[in-house]
Amino acid sequence: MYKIYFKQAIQMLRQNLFMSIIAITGTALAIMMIMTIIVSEEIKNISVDPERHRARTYYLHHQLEKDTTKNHTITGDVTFPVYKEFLADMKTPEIICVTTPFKWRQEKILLNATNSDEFIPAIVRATDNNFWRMFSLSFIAGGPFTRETVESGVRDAVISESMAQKLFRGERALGQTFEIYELPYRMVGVVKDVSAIFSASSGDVWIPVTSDEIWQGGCTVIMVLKDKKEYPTLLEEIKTAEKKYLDSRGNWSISFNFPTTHREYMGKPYGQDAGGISKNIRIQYRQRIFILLLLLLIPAINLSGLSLSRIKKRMEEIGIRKAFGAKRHILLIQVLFENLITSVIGGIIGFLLSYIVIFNMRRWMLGIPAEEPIPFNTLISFPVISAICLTCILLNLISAGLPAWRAANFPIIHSITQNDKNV
Amino acid sequence: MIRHILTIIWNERKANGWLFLEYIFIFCVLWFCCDYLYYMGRSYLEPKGFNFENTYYLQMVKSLQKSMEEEIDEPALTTQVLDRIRRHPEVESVSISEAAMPYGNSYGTGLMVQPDSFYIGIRDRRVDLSFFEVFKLKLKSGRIPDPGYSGQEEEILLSPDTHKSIGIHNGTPYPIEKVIRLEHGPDKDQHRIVTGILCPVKDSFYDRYTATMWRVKPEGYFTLSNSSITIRTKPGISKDFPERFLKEMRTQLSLDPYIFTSITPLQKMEKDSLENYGTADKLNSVYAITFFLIINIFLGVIGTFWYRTQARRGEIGLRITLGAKPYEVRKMLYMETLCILFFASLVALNICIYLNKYDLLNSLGIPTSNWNNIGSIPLMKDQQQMCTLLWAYLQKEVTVYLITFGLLATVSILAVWYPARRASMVQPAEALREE
Repeated sequence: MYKIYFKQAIQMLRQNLFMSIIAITGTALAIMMIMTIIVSEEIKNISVDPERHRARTYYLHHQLEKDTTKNHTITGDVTFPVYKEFLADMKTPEIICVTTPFKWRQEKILLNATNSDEFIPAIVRATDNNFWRMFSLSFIAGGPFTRETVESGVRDAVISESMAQKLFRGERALGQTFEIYELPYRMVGVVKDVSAIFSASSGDVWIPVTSDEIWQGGCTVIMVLKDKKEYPTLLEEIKTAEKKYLDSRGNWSISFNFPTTHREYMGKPYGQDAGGISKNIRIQYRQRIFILLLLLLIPAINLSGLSLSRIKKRMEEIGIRKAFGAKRHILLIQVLFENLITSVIGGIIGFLLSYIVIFNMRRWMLGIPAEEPIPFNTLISFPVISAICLTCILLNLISAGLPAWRAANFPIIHSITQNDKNV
Repeated sequence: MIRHILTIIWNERKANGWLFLEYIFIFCVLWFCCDYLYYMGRSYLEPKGFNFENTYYLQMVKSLQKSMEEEIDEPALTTQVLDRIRRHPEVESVSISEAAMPYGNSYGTGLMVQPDSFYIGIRDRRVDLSFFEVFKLKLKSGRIPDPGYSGQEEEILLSPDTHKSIGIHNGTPYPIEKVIRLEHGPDKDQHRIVTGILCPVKDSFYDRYTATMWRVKPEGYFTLSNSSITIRTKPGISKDFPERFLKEMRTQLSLDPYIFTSITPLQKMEKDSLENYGTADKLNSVYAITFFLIINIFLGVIGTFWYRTQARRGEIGLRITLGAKPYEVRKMLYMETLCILFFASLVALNICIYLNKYDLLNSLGIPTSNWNNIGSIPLMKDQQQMCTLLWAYLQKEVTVYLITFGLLATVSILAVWYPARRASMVQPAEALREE
């Protein structure tokens, strides 16, 4: 049965090639735009190595200190001393670590190999030993810095393969030193390059946050929970930490933002306080839904008009089929199925185009430098596949639903006489 | 003619309904895109005040290792570094400044007390004399203060904000010409005398002009760790200047405990800031949506008219038989499209104005224009200004309407062209036989 529909649909596409091209272009364009948004969103949020815990990861990035006696507040990133004293010992997170906040298009710091006066811009990430448990970066040589290193503030560093190449020109990097503004660091490990897609873990150089005071002013706390259900417990524990701060500091109080999920954090949820941050997150959700609706509805109106005209031309045929006893739902399904073929062809083209768009506009879509590679394992995922199927079906239903219903319900006599005044 | 076309449109109302609906939808969205792009275009054309051509920022970093050690003679060090840069043959002028350079790391605001004692925030920039030369800032009136002046009352320059004022006082802009003396901060003893007015300045084209006070200081006032060094090269210097300069001057300018690390063109910093603050993303999104809408309306119109001209072959054949020229048939089809677009635009215009009244767009995070930011729309000072304000808004709305309508009309006519051409080439005898 469907085979006949299929053959008929293909035949119809061929017969009216010009219109078919127009309908397919319209579908492809809509799917391309929608899938570009969804695929880039998924690339930013998929849980794969080295950030395999993204689904259970939460971020604490904002603190607000308030002098309760005067009306005086200080806001900013979480500072390392506060983290160490009040947050580091929290029990709920499976792993907790502190790192330089990964602002988008991070500021680069210039470093040079000892005894060389060539400065090389690099993204420096100051962090602690738990970082290496949380993210699985693969070591080529050496290993991560240890807990003792972090506690004593020894200047050890882990470096990426390509940065080691730039700094030491192919010499063995392990054990050598480089300088950050004349402060020497000793290389203890070399890791494979991490794509900037992994915004929490990527970088060129990783150093202990305790190695100099300049790294301790602004940090982000990253937490991995055993289970998402533990979130309320985590909130409780953060409240306890805030209370502990108040008890120890007298007239100063502190409040942190509520821990945000990876997806929320990727939307750059800036704000003056917790309320402002959650408002921004809500706005971002609404914006995404609004844009997707827009991208779906406008082509749907467009294609709906086209299918209506196409059906109008075939009323005679439909009338005859009805006269010979074809059921309403069969006609309905047939029209929808025929249209689905257009949607699927357009969908596949659009889907492929969306990857081309993402690859060429990665700076805008993914927030990474234009020359940065996109790892293969982030490209296709279950949500992406379901999204493309769902979008095709949805677009098909909205654009062909009304014409199909019309065709199925039109009085037989009018269809046969081609009396299309009322169509 | 128009009446005839209206009749045709009415007779085809069912098929036109879809096109009408699509036009309304697309017009509404495109309206906001055009509004934003028009606003951005206008902001772009406003002079920034700064001239970034051939200007570079030299980054000096304090060594982390030596920062704790013995006292340094900062003024002597500053003079030495500046002298060495000045001696470079390709450098035209060198300046050192604090919280003054565009896209710099520091930003200063001061609290001013006006003669009739109201408080206002104003940007506080400390510069040396050659800063005005490096960025080619123009003096509008008065004179540049003497950096060596050491009188009781500090001399300053003022730059106006968007409304040619230094801020809003009781809902009205406080004109900069009225300001002669400023008092600074809670400490009322600190008086400042305004010696001149400088051109309005903004760091990036999408910013608004901010009221600024320029405090001109001698070189020795600045320390290398808190200030920024900017230079202007002589015109016609080759492109590899930054690398060459860095190589030649690295050791010369790295005086303990400072390291000369990099040299960046201001134009690059401008481009980066466009990307870092999301303006580039917003613009890209609006471009993408505009592109999407235009392609869609093109496909929609071409599709609708393709079927329509096919269905109306008989009618068109009859027209040609009765003496209509092919171009007249084409004209009729063009007019039909434009009429539908016109009516749809009237409906859409109402929707847009209605939507604009509410905060809906902001709650959706849609980039919107803020026309108060550019000077074309004045702030309301009193009742008499109400007319000017309304007039300015009307002008803006009409322009945006015309841009949107023009864009859609052009695309629609392009789309109708092919079906219309086919229809007008129909052989009357053949078409008539069809019935």
